[in-house]
Amino acid sequence: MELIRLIMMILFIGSGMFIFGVATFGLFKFDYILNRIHVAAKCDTLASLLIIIGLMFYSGLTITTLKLAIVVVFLWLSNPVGTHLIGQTEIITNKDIEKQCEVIE
Amino acid sequence: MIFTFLFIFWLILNGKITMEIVLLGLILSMVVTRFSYKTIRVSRELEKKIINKFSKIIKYLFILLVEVIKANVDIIKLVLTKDPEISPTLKTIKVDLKSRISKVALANSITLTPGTITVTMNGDQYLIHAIVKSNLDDIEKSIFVEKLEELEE
Repeated sequence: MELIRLIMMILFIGSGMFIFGVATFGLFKFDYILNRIHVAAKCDTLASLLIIIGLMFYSGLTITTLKLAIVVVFLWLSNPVGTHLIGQTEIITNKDIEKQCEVIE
Repeated sequence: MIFTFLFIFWLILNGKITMEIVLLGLILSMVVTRFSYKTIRVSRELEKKIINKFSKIIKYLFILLVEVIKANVDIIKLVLTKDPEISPTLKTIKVDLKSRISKVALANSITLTPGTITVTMNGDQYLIHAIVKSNLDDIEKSIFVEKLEELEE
């Protein structure tokens, strides 16, 4: 039983860290803000979910598990909002956005 | 329902159940419930509606989770290929949804799904940025719009 818990922990936290690593790499790979934001917005959600599931296995079935679940809910609610705000600022302030991406009305 | 949610939230944050905590929690949740009935748009009818649609909401969240995993696989592939073919595109789409909650839910869902993010939302107009142009094909008729329309009835 302990062994299974350990394996699940390593599996979830490991894959979460892998996704975070890829996300960091991707942030430097693309050169324009709206392309970069894709990587930041999407990888954060799944990676944080996986790491927190791993931490749930670590804590066992206690009240901490429920607290961690609440952390996931708030992360998932707030992450897209931050993305909208950054994107909106870019659209408002960048006058020649057509150079960076094709605009379809 | 909002009362139950607040009370459970209070108990989880406290971490243990004693007489004082339960009593204080009951009083506080009652006060906050009254307050939100009076000030923000929460009413008993809305709560009843949400309870009736609970299974559909759970189904929606499950679909969202699957889409998030797909989105991540897509992005990881894109980052790890050497010279990815990207064609960044901005597009304005129009989706008819009535309630404010489902509009926000759609905007957030689009952000969390493969290759697309909602940049701004204005009434029923959504400005969407896609990293690969083909991701924008029939986004107006995506599964989320369908499910949210079903939820609104």
